[in-house]
Amino acid sequence: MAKTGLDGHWRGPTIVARALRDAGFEVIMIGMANTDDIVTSAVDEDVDLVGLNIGGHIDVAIRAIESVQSARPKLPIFAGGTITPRAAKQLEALGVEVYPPGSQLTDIVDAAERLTGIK
Amino acid sequence: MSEAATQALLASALQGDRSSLARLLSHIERDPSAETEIRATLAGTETESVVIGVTGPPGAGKSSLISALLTHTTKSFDRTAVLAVDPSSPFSGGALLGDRVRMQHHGLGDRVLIRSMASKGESGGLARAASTAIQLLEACGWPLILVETLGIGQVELDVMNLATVVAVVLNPGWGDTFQANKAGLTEAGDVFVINKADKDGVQQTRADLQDSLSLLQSPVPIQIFDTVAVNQDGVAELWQGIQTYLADAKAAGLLEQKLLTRRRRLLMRILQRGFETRIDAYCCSDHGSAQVQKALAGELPIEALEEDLFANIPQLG
Amino acid sequence: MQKKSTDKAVFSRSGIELKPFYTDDDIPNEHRGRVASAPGEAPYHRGFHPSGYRSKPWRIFQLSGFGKPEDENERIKFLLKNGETGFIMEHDRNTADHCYNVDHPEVVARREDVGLTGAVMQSVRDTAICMDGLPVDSSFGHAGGAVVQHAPFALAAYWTVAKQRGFDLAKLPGTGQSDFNLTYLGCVTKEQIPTQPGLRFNADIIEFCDRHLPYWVPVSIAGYNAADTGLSPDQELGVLFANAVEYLDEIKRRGSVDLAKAARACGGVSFRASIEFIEEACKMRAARLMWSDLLRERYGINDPKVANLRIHCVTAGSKMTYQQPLNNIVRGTLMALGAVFGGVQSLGVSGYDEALSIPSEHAHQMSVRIQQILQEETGIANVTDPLGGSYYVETLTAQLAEKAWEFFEEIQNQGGYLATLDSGWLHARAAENQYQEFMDMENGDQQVIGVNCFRDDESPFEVDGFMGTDDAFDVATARLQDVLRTRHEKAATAALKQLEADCRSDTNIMPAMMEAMSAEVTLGEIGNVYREVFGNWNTPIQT
Repeated sequence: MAKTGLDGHWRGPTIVARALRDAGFEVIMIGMANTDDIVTSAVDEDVDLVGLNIGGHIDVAIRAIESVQSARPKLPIFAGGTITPRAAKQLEALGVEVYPPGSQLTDIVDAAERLTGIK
Repeated sequence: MSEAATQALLASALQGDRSSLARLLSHIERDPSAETEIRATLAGTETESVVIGVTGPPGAGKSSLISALLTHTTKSFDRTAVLAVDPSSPFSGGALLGDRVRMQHHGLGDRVLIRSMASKGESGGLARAASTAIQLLEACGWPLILVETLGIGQVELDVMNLATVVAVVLNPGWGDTFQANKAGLTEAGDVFVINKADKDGVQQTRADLQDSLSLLQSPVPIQIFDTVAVNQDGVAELWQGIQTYLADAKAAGLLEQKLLTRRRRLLMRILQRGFETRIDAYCCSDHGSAQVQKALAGELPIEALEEDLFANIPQLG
Repeated sequence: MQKKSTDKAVFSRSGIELKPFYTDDDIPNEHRGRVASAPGEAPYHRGFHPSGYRSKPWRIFQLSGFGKPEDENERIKFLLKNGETGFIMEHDRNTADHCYNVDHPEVVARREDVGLTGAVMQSVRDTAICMDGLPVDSSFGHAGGAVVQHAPFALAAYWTVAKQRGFDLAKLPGTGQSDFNLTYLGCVTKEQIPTQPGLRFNADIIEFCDRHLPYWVPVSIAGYNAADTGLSPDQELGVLFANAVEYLDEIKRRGSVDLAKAARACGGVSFRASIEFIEEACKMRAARLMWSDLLRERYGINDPKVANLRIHCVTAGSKMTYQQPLNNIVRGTLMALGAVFGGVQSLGVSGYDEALSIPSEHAHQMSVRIQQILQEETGIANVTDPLGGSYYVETLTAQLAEKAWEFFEEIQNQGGYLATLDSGWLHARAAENQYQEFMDMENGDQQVIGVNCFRDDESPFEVDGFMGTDDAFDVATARLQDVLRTRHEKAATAALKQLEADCRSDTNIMPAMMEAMSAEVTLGEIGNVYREVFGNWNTPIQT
C-alpha cells in the first residue's frame, strides 16, 4: 500500500491496512512513495495486489499506475482517497477499482480477496 | 508450481533476473514442494555470503539503522539484500510489514534489494524459509545479506542463527524496561548498538549491558556502539566495528565454530518443531487421544504411552 | 431515525455518559459557583466580553490558497469581497511542509500536486506577489507556516514584504501557526526537524514578536489536527493545554520574555468544531475555564487580560462526506453553530466539497454565506453565552474540563507533550479512537446520512472537485531559476551562512531569517540547512 501524494495524513490508510491484516493479508506499507518506489516494491516483494491512497492530482497516480502495469501487466490495482468523480472515471478506464471516502471496509476487503483470487 | 516451472524460474534468477528471484522468494514462503525443490537444486553451491542479523525490541530503530548502514555496506560489497521479518497476527495470520518504508531511500537503485517477510506463527516455518531464501540470494549473487527480526520471540530469534554476525539494537533505558526475552537477546548478540543515543540514559544502559555481557565470558570482546541512525551518527563506526569483528573472528577460527554452533542449534529446533507437530497429530488421532485419556486416568503408565507414540510416529508424518 | 433502546447507555463523543435530561441537581458542586458568573468575570467560561458579539462579531476566516501566488491573491480578494473579515495565505504543502524547492526530486515526481492546496512561495518575491494589494494592516492576515519547520520562513517573508511596503511591524496585526499537532501528530511529513528544535523555533518566534511585533499572534496552539486525527473533545482540550505548557515552560526557562506577555500573545488558540455541536460548544467554554485555571495555578498569572482566551475554530473537515456533498452545507452550518454557541472569536467553515478537493469558488463563498446568515439573520449575536445556565451545558462543561485535565495529567506523567509525540503515545490514542469510529460506521452504530444510509441521491447538479490551476509547477520552476540567477549572490550566501550559524548556536534565528528574506534566500536552501543542522525527526509511526 502506498500514498501517491506528499500529504502526511495517515488515518485512512492505517485503518484499511489493519482491516486487510485482520482478513489475513500480509500488507507491505510503503508510505509516501514515488513511482520508482512503488514499482520496485511491486516487483521485489512480488505482491498480489497494489493499493494506492491518492490525495492529490490524479496524474501523479496515473504515472505510478502505468509504470506498475508496464512492469507487471496482470497485477491488480485498487485505489482510495480523495478522488473526484471525474478522476475516478480515469482510473476505472485504466482498470483500477476505486473506493472513495465513505466506502465500507467490508467492501474493500472483499475486493482485495476477489482481486487476488483468494475468494 | 510444476518442477519444470520452478527450474525455469531458478535458471532465470541465477542469470540475474530480479523478478524471477522475487517470484521464487514467494514460492519459498508459500509452496513447500517448490521450497524443497529449490533447496535441493542449490545444495552444494559454493557461494557464501556474509549474513548480518539485526535484531532488537520493537521501536529500537532497526530499520532506520539498516537504512543508514546501506550507505556504508555498498562501499565494501557490490550488492546488499535485506530480508525484513515482522510477526504475523496469531489471530488472522495476516501481517503489517512496515520495515521497508524506512529503508527505501537509499538512492542505491539496483544495488539494494529489500524483501519483507512475515513470521507466520510458531510453526517454525520461518527459519526454514529464511534459510532457503538466504541460500537463494547467495546463489543469485548477493554477497551481503542483512536480516532484520524482532528480538522478542524465539521464532524470530531463531533466524539469527543463520547469521554470520548478529547486531542487537537497543535504546537508552533498556535496562529499566520489562521486555520479553531479554536474556535471549543478550546471548544472541556479537555486536550491540544503543540507537537513539541522543536520548537520556545512554551511560546507564551501556553499564547495564556490560554487566549482562560480562556473565557470558565471550572469547572475542563484545563491542557496544552508540548511534543516532536517522542522522547517521555513529553508523560509520558501527560498520567499521562489524567488519573488524568479522575479520577478528575469522582469524581466530571463531566464525566457523560459531556458524556451526548456530546451524546445529537451528537444525535441532527445526527437528524439535517437526517432532512437536507429529506429537500433536498423534494426540489428535482417534487411537492417540484414547491412549492419552487412559494415561490421564492412570490406566496406562507413561512409559507405555511413550512407546506407543514412538511406534506410531512414522505413520504421522 | 433508528429507535434507540431506552435502556442502552448513551455517551458523548468524549465518553461522558449522557442522561435523557438534566436538572439543577446534576451540576457538579465545584462548578455551581461559576454558573452565577457573568461573561467577563472569572473564570471566564462564559466569555471574556459581556457584550460579546454585539461589540465584535467573530471573524470570518477561511483557509484559502492554491496555484501561483497570483491565483491565491485572487481567491483571497474574492473572499474578502464576499465578506470574510480576515485572510489566510496557505502555502503549497509539497514544498512548504518539507522546505523543498520545486526542483527537489520528491516534488518533481509529483509536479501536478504542486499548487494544489496552497500557492508555491519559494522566496520573498513570491510572497510579495501573493500579498499584492491585500489589506495587511486593516484586516487580519494569517501568514501561512502551518508546519513547524516552515513557520520561520513564512512569517519572515510576510513581515519583510509588509516592511518593504511601508507597514510598521510594531503595529502589524495577524497570526502565525507553527502547529505541533499538525506537524507531529496529524500530518507526519517525510522529513521534519525533531520536536526539540521545533520547540526552539516556536520560542524564538514568540521572543521575536514580543520585541518587534506586539500585535502579532506568534504561534497558534491548535487542537484541530489532534481532533481530526482521532482525539476526542476532552483529549483535544488536554493535549492543547499540554502543548501550551511546553511553550510557556520554555519561555519561562529562557527568561527573556515576561511570561504574562507571552501567555497573552499565545492566548490565541484554535479548536476543531465537530458535528455533535452542543458538546463542542461546551468544549469551548471548558477551554476558557481551563486556560484561566492553568495560568493561575501553574504560573501564578492572575491578570484578566491574559486569561482572555481568543479561540479560532475550524469546522471538522473529516465530517464532510464525499457522497451527496450538498448535505455538507447543513453540516457546516451546524458545526458553525456549535462554535458560535461556544463564543469563538474567529471561524472557518470547511467547504461542502471538502471530501473531493480544495474549495471551488462557490463552495468557498457558501462557507462565508453560512457565517453571514448566522451573524445577520438569526439574532444569535445579540446575547452572549446563550446556553449559559442550561443544566445540561453547565454539567457537560464541567465534566469535560475534568476529563480533559485527566488527559493532561497523563501526558505530564510521561514527561510532557513532546515526549508523548516522540514516543508515539498520542498517535496510539488517536489510532484507537479512529478505529472505533470506523467500526461504528462500518457496523451501522453510527449512521452517516448518504454514506451508510439513505444513499439515493436526487442532486440537481453534480459536484466535482476543484483542481486549481495547472501551471503552478512550471511557473514556480521558472521563478526559482530567475531568483537564483538575478539575486545578489554574495548577500544570499552570507545570509544563509549566518542563518546556519545561528541555527547551530542558541541565538534566536528570526533576525537571521529576516536578513535571509531580504537577501532572497530560497525555501529549499533553508530546508537544507535545517536537515544538515537538526537532522530528521524519528517518526514513531510511518506514514
